[in-house]
Formats: sequence, structure tokens, C-alpha cells
Amino acid sequence: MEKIKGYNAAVCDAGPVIHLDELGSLDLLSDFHPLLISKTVQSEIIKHRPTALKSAGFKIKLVDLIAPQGPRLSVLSKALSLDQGELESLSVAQEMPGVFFLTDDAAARLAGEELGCKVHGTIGIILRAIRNKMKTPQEVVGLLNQIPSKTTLFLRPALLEEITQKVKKEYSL
Amino acid sequence: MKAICTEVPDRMYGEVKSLVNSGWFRNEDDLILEALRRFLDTHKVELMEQYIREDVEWGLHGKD
Repeated sequence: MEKIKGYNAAVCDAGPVIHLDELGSLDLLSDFHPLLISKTVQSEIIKHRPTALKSAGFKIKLVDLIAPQGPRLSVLSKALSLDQGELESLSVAQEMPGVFFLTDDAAARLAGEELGCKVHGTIGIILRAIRNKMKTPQEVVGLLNQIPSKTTLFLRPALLEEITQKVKKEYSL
Repeated sequence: MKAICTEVPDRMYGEVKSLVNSGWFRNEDDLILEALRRFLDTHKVELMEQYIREDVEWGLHGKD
């Protein structure tokens, strides 16, 4: 695979793309350069959100599976029962020190952290939009409120409320 | 890869040895890894909650 470098380079699993698209906020991923997804992840996204990638409005780089994955990832994938998309994403990410790995899956996150990636999910990306001036605090609260009704992202209601209150307190809303 | 060192009660360790000796697992490591995998499979929600809290901190106060 060619060496890919970028200040905010990220490898993205299907979850954040699907969940942000459900919220109409896929543009929040445009802040990551380059944004890489594997072909299996692309297939997963197309299966759940057929038009998400076409209507993204920013460049998403498709990458081929790197094989073999190396012993660490091989063991991690078996131990954590990672699916093919997660495995492909992590095999790309482990070649890029300090890269963001964006996922909403706990097991994939565990593996990503083990491999030295900066791992974050949909909630973090949404909140980050405030400090990156991509959304106002009010807009972010609005997005958080829409999560239960508009998305397939599972979040305990009390935890979501806690996050919403934290944002409101942080920005005096 | 991290190595974890922990104490296991004698009786529990006896059960581990018994499963390995009777051929259900190749060795103790395999059994413990399987047990850990199953635990993680059934505790993803708790793990996710912890990760989400970390994500909130990064989202609001991170530097990157």
C-alpha cells in the first residue's frame, strides 16, 4: 500500500459514516484528511445507507485490504471477534502511526487502541464540531437530541441526557 | 500485546486445568482468552459507555 500521510488522517469504520449520515451530518468527517475506508466497509455502508458515500460532498479514499495483517492484529481480531470490515480498517490503520481510527464498535476500539491508534466514535466527532467551528453548541445539542429517533446508534437514554447537559453547561445554554 | 498477571482461586484454577487436561482447550491461555472474549461480547454496552465518556472529553476538550 502507498504511504499515506496527513495531519488529520483517519481510517473510518462503517458506524460513524452510517450514524452521521442518519443525522444529515456526514460533512463532519470532511475535517479528516485523508479519510480512508476499506472496500468491505464501503459495502457495509452501501448496504445500510445506499446514497451516503455518493452524496458525501468531500473526498473519501478507498483502500484495498492489506494482507497479511501481522501477528498482533491477527491475534486481536480472533480474540475480539472482529468482522472483516473492522479487520481491514485496522490493517490499514496500523500502517499509519498516530492515525485516527473512527469506529462505534467497542471491540474494534479496543483493538485500535492496542495498535496505537487514536480511536473515536460518532459522539466524539459530533462534539468536536463545536471546537472546530463546524457546528454551534445549539446545533450540536439538536443533533444529540435527534440520535434516538433518527439513528441506529445505541445510547443509553440517561447517558445521552448526561452528555447533552454537559454540553449545555459547558457553553452556558 | 499485553500480558496480564492475576491471581486465580485454587478451585477455579483446578477447573481450568481440568478443562485443558481433558482436551477442551489447547492450553490455559486459550481458555482464558476465550473467557475474556465472551465477557467482552456480553459487556460491550458497559465498555461502550466508558468509551463514549472518553469521547465526550475528547470532543469537548481535545487538541486534535
